Amino acid sequence: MNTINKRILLAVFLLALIVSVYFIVQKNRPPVLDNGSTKVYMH
Amino acid sequence: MQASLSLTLNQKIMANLLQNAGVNPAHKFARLSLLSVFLTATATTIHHVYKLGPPALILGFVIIVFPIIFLLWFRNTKKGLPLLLYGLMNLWIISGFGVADGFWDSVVKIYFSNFLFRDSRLFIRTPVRSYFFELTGVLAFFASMFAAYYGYKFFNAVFSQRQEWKAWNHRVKWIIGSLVIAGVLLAGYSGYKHTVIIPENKIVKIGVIVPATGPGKILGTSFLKAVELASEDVKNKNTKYQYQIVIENSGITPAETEQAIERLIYKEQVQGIVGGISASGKIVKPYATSAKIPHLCVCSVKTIGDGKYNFTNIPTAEDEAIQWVEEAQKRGIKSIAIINQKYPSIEGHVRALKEESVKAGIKILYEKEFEESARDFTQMIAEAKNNLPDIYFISGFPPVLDTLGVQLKRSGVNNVASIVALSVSNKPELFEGNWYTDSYVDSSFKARFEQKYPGTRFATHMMPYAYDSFIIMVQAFESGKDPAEYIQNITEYPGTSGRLTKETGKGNFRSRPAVWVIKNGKPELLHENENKIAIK
Repeated sequence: MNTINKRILLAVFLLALIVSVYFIVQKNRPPVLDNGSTKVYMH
Repeated sequence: MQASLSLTLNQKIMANLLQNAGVNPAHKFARLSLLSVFLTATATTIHHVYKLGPPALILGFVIIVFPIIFLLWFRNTKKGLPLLLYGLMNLWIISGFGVADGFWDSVVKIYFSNFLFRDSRLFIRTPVRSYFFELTGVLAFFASMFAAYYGYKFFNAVFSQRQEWKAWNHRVKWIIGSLVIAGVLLAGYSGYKHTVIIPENKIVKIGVIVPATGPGKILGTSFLKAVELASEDVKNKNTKYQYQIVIENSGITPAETEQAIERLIYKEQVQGIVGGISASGKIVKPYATSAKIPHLCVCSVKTIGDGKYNFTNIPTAEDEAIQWVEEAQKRGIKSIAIINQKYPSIEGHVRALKEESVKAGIKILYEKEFEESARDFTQMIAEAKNNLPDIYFISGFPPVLDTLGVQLKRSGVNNVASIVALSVSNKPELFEGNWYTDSYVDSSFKARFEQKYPGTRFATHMMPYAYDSFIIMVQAFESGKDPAEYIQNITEYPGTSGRLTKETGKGNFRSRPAVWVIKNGKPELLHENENKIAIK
């Protein structure tokens, strides 16, 4: 496999990684975890 | 600042290295090794900024700059020490940040725990956080694999060029092989440990998470007393396992609740959670799901109960409204004026009340919300009075609730009713003769409390549910099945809070609240007998 093919393969793999993480996070991230919010709640 | 300095420095060095590019494989792989180490270090630094905040930049500075220094030092001197230091830096960055952190935490969490093997106990991880946090973890692993490959190639080339170092090529293979085998064994053991539900010492830890400070303090301390009573009752029985309560204060902010639940799950390693208050229950929910442990929450927000690991146990707003409208009909009420504080749980009650009232043909003649800071209700009361309602439905938290109570009394309004609110008033005498719906409390259960803690004021709103939730949790572990699965399949439970029902697989225990009246300044059950029958 020549270098250009390798680079295309790498770019496609990276893109797949970035997109798949995005969708998995969107689907599974709990909406309430806001990492350190200090908003006071009562009840 | 440090990060940008190190970036500029690195760019200059990388350019210099590229200028000196030659055909020597050691040079070629040195560049590629350094580039991939740099990318791994950059990704893991961003990842750690999310985790640790700005101090992570110091770590970033170390892992980005030191490999460059060691490699330049080696290029200029060709000595063994800088090469060894560069090798150790590689080992630290690849195994620590690439594999242990990037793969074992982020990659396994994203692709195994949340995509491929959602129900497996082998891949228990923390809840998913922000996109960039997770992505940088995954990318750190990805880049570290290149760092490992080119690092190996670089060392291989260097060792091959020096007669006295040639033997190291063989040794490096053995070192890498041993490390991989040790890593796989460790990972396998760690995964296996999560599949064991009951610890070897047969002591089941149950985390109890409620507020011990702030406005929810009285609810929280009453809740704890109820759980302690349940725990004492369990100790007096012949159970298969011992049950240990681990208490954490959920505090008054989401950040405090997150810290509390993280301590319970990751430090104390509790096997189940009993909690109270919807606001903190919402935060506990994803942690319980990720840890795959049952969570019984005495909270009214229905969505917390997913029917898998999370369950709510208190009358829903609909249950309260049905009971309220039933009582209103018995009293011949045909119209209502609603004055309530703007607050999520109160708004939920009001919404359900309006729906049930419409069904029963009760008219809503007036409706007004007020803020927590409101102090003057004269205009609101006058407007409501003009509509001549049969009853005034009010709701709020003290002190604003009591201010409203004073002004209603002053205006000659005595026909007041509510859902729950009157039970939390600091001046119940203001509402003498008024009625409201709230949790049913078995009279013998109440008597036990009064005997055990004489003279202490309790918020009965959550107590019977806290007691019942702890007992349900114990029964789940005693069943010998997966405790979450056991709770999923419960459809009926006779508790101190009356008869609890739940549809199989659903996440909300339903129960019938009771009607209370304020008599001689104290809440009193109106229909004790009806609810007693309900238990059986």
